[in-house]
Amino acid sequence: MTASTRGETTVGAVPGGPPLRRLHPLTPLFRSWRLVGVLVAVAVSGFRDNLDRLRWFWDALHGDAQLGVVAKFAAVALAVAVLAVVGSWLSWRVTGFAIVSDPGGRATLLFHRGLFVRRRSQVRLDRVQSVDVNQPLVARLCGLAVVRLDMAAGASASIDLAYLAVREAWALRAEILAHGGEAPTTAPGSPMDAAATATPPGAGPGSAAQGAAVPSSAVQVPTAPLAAAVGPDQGARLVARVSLGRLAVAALLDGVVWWLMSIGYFVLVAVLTAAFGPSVVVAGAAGFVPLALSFLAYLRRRVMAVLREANFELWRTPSGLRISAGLTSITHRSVDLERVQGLRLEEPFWWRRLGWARVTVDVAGDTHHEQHRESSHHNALMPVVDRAGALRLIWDVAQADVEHAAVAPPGRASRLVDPWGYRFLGAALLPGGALTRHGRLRRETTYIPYARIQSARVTQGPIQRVLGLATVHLDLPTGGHRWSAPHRELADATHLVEEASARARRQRLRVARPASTGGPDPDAQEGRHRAG
Amino acid sequence: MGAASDRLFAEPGLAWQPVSRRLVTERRIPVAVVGLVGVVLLIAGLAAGGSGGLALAAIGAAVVLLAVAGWAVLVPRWVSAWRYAERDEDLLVSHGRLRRRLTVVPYGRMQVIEVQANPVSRRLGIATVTLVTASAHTDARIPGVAAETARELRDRLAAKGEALTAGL
Repeated sequence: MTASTRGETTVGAVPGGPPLRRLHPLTPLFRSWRLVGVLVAVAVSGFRDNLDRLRWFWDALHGDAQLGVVAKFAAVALAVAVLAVVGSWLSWRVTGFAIVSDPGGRATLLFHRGLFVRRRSQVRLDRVQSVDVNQPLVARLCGLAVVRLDMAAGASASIDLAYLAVREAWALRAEILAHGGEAPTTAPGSPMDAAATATPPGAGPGSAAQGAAVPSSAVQVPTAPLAAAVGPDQGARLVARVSLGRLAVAALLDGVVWWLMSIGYFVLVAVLTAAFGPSVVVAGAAGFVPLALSFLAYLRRRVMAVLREANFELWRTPSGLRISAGLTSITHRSVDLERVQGLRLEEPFWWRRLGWARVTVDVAGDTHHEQHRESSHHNALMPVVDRAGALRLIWDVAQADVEHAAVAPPGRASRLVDPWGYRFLGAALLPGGALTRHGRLRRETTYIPYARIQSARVTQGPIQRVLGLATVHLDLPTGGHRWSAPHRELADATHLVEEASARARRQRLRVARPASTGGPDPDAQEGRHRAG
Repeated sequence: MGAASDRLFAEPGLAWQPVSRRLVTERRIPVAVVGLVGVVLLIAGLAAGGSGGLALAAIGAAVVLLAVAGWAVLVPRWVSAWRYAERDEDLLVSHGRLRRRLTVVPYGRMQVIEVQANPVSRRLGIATVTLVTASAHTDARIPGVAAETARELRDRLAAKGEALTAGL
């Protein structure tokens, strides 16, 4: 698989393939920009120790003395900057990518890079889980973008093509998606198919025709120039847009329990102070510091989440869904409906009073929540929307009627183990997937397609044993939502496990038969190749 | 209640395989080490005498008692709770006494089958068989499988997995 390219040392024509395409010529500037920034930061932190030196500059700038120091510093900085730019220019020269296809019609992305340690990645495009176009702030101002390819193997296996002109980035994304669309893993009767046939009428015949035509034409001419699409997917239809104001209000209301707890604490301290004198304040303050710190951390997380989800737009495209969001840096993510491995409907306490809800989605190989580890949230498919809209969206993505599911309550004894939350516990087996819900204040309803279930587990603690209860877990690929149905009656637990396993098996067979290959995970890793 | 739980975690009518009793020997080793530490504390405390020495001796005695309980009761019970059963489409692994666990792994979802043995296990002729799926939560580890059985199990599972493998 890699033998034909291993001998290549320069960027140029790959035997039997097209020449490698270069990244945008401004790339070296951006890369070294960062390096220079780091150097400046290091210099500043070094000088911070010795404030006297700053006086040297002051004196020197006023022509008093030691002009040499400034000159030296400037020379060093300039030299470093030049070196950095030259270095990254050299590295840019050997960086290139190309899409080639083997006789079988399978398209592969080659990505060559590395000045001293040459790295060559080969990624089979039908193994690509998602293609994002990201625009960090500075790049965005210059009309540049990053194309990010995610593989099932997780964050370490994703590839960033940085930077490309925005136009080219979109075209490349369209091209990659077109190749990925012909993936043999497409299962008849999978949600994707159902969704595709149920393409909204508003999309018009033109977009439907394009959705069908792109993959087949791409098979014939895989090395053709960039696909015709020049902007964000043609035929895309805006499903919803969320205003910043609503997002901010929603975030505020979501954390209301937190706010109340903090306020309650302050009130408590104040009352105790009034009652017992100021000595209590000292004791209260000891607890106040960690509380304030965690509160600030929480606030920061919240603000970051709002910034990330600002200008949120959800688009329906011929190949699935696309999310655009971000205030300073804009992220465009595509959600391949076929790879959705979980959906969650979140309804915080106050949101329910307003009839609001949030939908998060978990896509195989998606690395966004790994990057934004500070956020406890999964990727929002819809950060805040009215409940009916949320249910429609879930139906659209997974054909699951979350609202009218026959949710079976937990065992009767569950009130003894979980007196606070047992009322809202429940699980249901829907035609396409399993559903579970929990949460008294913040309700969460999690839906997973049977086809994604990896294994099933039953656990039983000592108290549950006495009460004749057991908890059922359905395990999903790592990084996804957790699915568990706590405190089921024993017979019910057995039924859940057996039935979910049986349905998962049936789904799996339906998915597996048309596919000629095994699991994508190991292949995606094999597809990456590193040459020294 | 107990009987119903037993049915859930060890469904009758299946060919449940226990793990090797040699696992008891392996797991007793750390217990014995702890017990020896207790004995040393006990002797040192008695030799030192005084109220401090007596306290030390009491701690040592408690450690020794715990170790004896572990040696005689806890470890054998823990080991005897491990069992596995192969069904047509999936493998069941059940373990735990205080907190019981049952894992159902479909053969079609197995990505890797690991057979591990540390030097002590090797000397005792046992190994740990672990089934890895794409999920990190899958808890399918069978310790203390006789080395020969582990090899057969691995080959059998691999063959079944090959026949039933599906993508993510």
